[in-house]
Amino acid sequence: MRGKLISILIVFALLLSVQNVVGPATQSAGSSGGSGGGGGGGGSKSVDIDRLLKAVEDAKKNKPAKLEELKTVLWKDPITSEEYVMPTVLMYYKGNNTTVSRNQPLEIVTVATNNNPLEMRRMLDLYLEVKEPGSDKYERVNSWPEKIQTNEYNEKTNTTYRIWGMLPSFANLKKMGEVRVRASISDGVNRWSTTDYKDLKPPYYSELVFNVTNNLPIMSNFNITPSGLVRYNDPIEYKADIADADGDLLNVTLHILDENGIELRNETRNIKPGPVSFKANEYGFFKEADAGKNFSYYYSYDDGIDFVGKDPEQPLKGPNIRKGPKLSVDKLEFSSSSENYFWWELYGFKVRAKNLNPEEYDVAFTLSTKTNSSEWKTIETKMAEIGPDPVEVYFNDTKPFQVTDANQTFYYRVKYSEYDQSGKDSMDQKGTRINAKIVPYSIYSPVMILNLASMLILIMMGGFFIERILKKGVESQERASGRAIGAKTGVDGKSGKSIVDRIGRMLRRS
Amino acid sequence: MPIDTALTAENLFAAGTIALAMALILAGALHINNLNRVHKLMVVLQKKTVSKSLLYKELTVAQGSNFTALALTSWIMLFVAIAFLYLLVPTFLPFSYMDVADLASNTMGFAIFGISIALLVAILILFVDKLPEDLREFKLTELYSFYSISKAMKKMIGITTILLSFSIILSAYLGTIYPGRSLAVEFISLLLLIVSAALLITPIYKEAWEVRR
Repeated sequence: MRGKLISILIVFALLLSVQNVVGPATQSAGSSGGSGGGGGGGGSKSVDIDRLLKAVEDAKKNKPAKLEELKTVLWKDPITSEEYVMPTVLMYYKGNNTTVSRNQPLEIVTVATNNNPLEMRRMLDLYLEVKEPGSDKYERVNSWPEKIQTNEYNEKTNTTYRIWGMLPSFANLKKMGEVRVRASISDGVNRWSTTDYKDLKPPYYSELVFNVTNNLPIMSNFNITPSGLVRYNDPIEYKADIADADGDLLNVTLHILDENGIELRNETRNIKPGPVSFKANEYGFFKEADAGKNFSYYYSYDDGIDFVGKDPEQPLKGPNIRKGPKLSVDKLEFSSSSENYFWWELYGFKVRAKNLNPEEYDVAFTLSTKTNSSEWKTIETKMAEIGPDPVEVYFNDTKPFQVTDANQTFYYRVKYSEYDQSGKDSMDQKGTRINAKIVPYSIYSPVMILNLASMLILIMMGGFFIERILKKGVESQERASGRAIGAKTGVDGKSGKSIVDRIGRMLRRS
Repeated sequence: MPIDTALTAENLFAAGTIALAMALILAGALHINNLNRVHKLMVVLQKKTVSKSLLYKELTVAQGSNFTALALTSWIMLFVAIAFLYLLVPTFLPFSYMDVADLASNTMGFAIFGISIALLVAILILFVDKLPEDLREFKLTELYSFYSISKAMKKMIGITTILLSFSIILSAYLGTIYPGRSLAVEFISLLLLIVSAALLITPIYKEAWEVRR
């Protein structure tokens, strides 16, 4: 009704403006603001809304029939008429397989066809709706409508489409099963959904029905390091690989069983698919009291949806904790063959050890040394039977240093194959400064005499040898100056004599 | 600078080293100059161009195989003695034989070091010997071929092998006492070097002096 009135007023105003252009306005009696006696003839008057309203009100009051006639003349039907055709909106899916895993990428498309002329089209609001497994109602995926404007349809086919990027997969589903997807549409007047359409043929659907499945995580490569017998405080590590096709965050639990298969403890880690690692020392799985016991283990895991209670079915063996001594180590000392501490001297080292438990065990002791200019270098390893009585382990007559260690402070370390009273497996000590003297021989020592004598003799021989090769002393010079004496015979020293003869002759010749 | 400050052991040793180097360099220059002067003189006397190779051919005096061999040995030993004095221990230079750990730790390290230097010098001498005939002034193997050398001088040059052997032994002694030092031994070793070098280059200086006179 209000629309009609506004239409009438606009048409009326237009008529008045036309009248103003054609001729002078007809002045009504008693109208305010009029000039006395036609002084304004020939000028146009603008449409005054007050005057327009007053005229319509006058007509309503005094000439209702005229007003009705005016209404009839000016009435124009609104565009929402019987000619408006409801747009067709359908779900579109290219794939054949409707059984999909949660993380499988999907492309859900809605296609809209609007055969109305442009001026009759209305903007469409689209909502994507999903009915999850076990639910009896559709839930909107998008909180704000996806809008299809009136001018975005293809000119030839009158169609447009929307790819629903906000639902790339069903990764967030908490329950697996049948999932239904549809679109609900509104054109501002009507509301309907794609499920209202029947008898559609692929790839068009009234709703998309997917059977969504979950991929179970798979564990493999079960391993425990180090293998074999280990000490309770060795760096024992449970290792495995876990894979999940859906890439979910996984809960992996390690179950440690005792010799009777009774679970002693378990630890859970929340990890991504990939390597799994549980470090025994980090979690404090084993204590000294576990020495001599054999354990087994298995894993359980879930991806938040499905749960695997035991993998592998039969628990795996390990670790086997061996019994060992509880070492008490002290008195790490060194000695030298002289108080000069030359680098070439023989050094002795010793360490005292005993087992705090009553048994006797073979323990390996390894001696290493270093200086500020060199890294740790293993010198010697010794095995010793360590029992409750203290045992001194000796490393006698070692030669741990080189010439480059001269004038450097040295350090020494004994590493043992068991742990000591401090939980360590080695003991370090600072030695002393190695004498700066470099050459171990005196000038009159046989070694130096051999060095110098051999060198001088070889140089002497070399000088003669070069001269004999070049023949600069006599022959070549004489040949060069044209005074060759033709005494070449035998000079070349190739007469078949022994090397000693030839050297003797070489030195005798003048 | 006061005289007693200037006459420190280091300064004296440095002065001796500089004197040795200068004497050797100057001898090389004089040797070349001597031969060039003779060449010019020949051109003036002959009143025509005389090739250097021809001149050298005419000038060459055969000094005898043993003398030449001894002289070559002396020259090689001179360089070995220099290496022993300056490169055996890091007293004078920042690098030395002692920095080569494997070599210095070797029982025969001294011999290997000395023979290596001698080989290097010998290779250099042999390489220079391959120069063309008109460049014979650069050949150490023919150094004494251009001078008339008396028997006494030849004996003196022969004696340098003994002097240089002593120098090498004294330098080796310095190596055995390192990081200890003996200034006296250092000076004697250097002195033996200087005397030996002086004897080896005396014929050159003598010729230069006579030509000038």
